[in-house]
Amino acid sequence: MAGKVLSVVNMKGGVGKTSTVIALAETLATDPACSVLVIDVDTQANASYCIAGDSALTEIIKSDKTIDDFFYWRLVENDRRSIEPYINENISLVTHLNRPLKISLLASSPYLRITEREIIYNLTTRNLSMEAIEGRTVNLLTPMMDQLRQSYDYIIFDCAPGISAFTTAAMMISDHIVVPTIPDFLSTLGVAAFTASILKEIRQKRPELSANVLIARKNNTRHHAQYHNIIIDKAKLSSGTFGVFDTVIPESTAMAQAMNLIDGTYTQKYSKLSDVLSNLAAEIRGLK
Amino acid sequence: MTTKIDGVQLFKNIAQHAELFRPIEKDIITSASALVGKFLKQKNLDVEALRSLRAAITADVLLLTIDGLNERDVRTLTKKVDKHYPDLTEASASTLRAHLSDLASSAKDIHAKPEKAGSPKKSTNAGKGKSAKKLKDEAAASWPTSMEATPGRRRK
Ligand SMILES: Nc1ncnc2c1ncn2[C@@H]1O[C@H](COP(=O)(O)OP(=O)(O)OP(=O)(O)O)[C@@H](O)[C@H]1O
Ligand SMILES: [Mg+2]
Repeated sequence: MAGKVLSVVNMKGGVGKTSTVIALAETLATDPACSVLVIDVDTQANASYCIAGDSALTEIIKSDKTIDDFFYWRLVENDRRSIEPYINENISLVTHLNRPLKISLLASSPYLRITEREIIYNLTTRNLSMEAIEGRTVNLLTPMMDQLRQSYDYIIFDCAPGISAFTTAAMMISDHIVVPTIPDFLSTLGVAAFTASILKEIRQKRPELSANVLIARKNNTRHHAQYHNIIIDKAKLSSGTFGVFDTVIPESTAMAQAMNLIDGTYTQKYSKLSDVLSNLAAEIRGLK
Repeated sequence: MTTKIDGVQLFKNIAQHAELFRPIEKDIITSASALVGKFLKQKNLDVEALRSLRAAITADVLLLTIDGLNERDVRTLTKKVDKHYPDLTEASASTLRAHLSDLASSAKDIHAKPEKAGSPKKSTNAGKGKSAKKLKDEAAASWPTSMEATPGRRRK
């Protein structure tokens, strides 16, 4: 097995990154042969919550089995511990056709924010630049990913809004970047800035990295239709800088509600969106 | 002159001309699924009817339909087809879904009537308006405690 690594990224907040990660992970995992690992690198820990549920996540945080703890020991204390004990294997309580979805989780916690500052403070006092800190994170993650690719078909990073050192590192070690965006004026500004600056910078080191915009939370207004077209046109003109998925996630209360159904069935969560999501999963499977 | 539509014949005709109906395929799924849903909601549905339904619509479609039921409907259906299922209120929805699927495939049989021992427990006022305590419990249950949890390393 050689799993695919995806990062779901956007500097802009609230555009549907986490909802995309959860819905995509669960849709891919409806295939009984498919196993998915979600890595939460957002201090909001939204993806961790949506997968593990409140009580399991409480235990994970209390017992230090979160990604910030791992980063702390590896980057600040130079400890050699491995990632495996931090992964909550098959933690999802969502079932499909009486079978639990094979989704594992490397959880985050609200303390990731503090840990990130500790890491930066600690490494800058050792005279390392921000770039060197990102480099260290990448060096830590690269062999780890090579190993995890052997165990999972898909590894999906849920990234924080804004661009932290961890988000940059996640993009650096990914095969594909998924950029959810709302097709409106301000969100399109965000995509423009992201593709012009951050994506360009990362492409200098990773020229083969693929990036696709996912239109999410689209409603029936002309404004959304207009910006959807603008994004498609720009992608065509971008000579391969980024593409746009054909699948569009509509604005739908069902999507918002699905995030809070920790232990239902896949059909209960997404019945109204199952076509859309299976199309998205097919596009993701088709990424080269 | 016909004055009434023969529903079964109409379905047969639609199925025979599936290509013609391709543009409204989504509505076909909706209508067909609604029929299966209604079938499961019949008052007198028993385990035999559930088994025949499975044979008629295939195991996968029945499983998908059961997956689509909410927790309350899963309990109602279980109670209907397996009247003596023990601790129905305590069992999780996923346990009940698995049980229904086992009943339908004949992997399991329905529970026998239990021997009468003492007076049966009467459910007290269940569902008849929520007590203040219950409301409080529910509020507590939905407030995310994980967001307030402190990692071990930081408690030292
Ligand atoms: N397709 C949708 N239809 C309706 N509401 C949605 C949809 N997708 C997401 N939402 C809602 O929009 C809000 C933001 O979604 P989400 O948390 O997935 O975005 P995000 O990009 O991960 O946010 P953040 O930047 O804070 O991490 C949430 O309240 C979510 O429930
Ligand atoms: Mg998020």
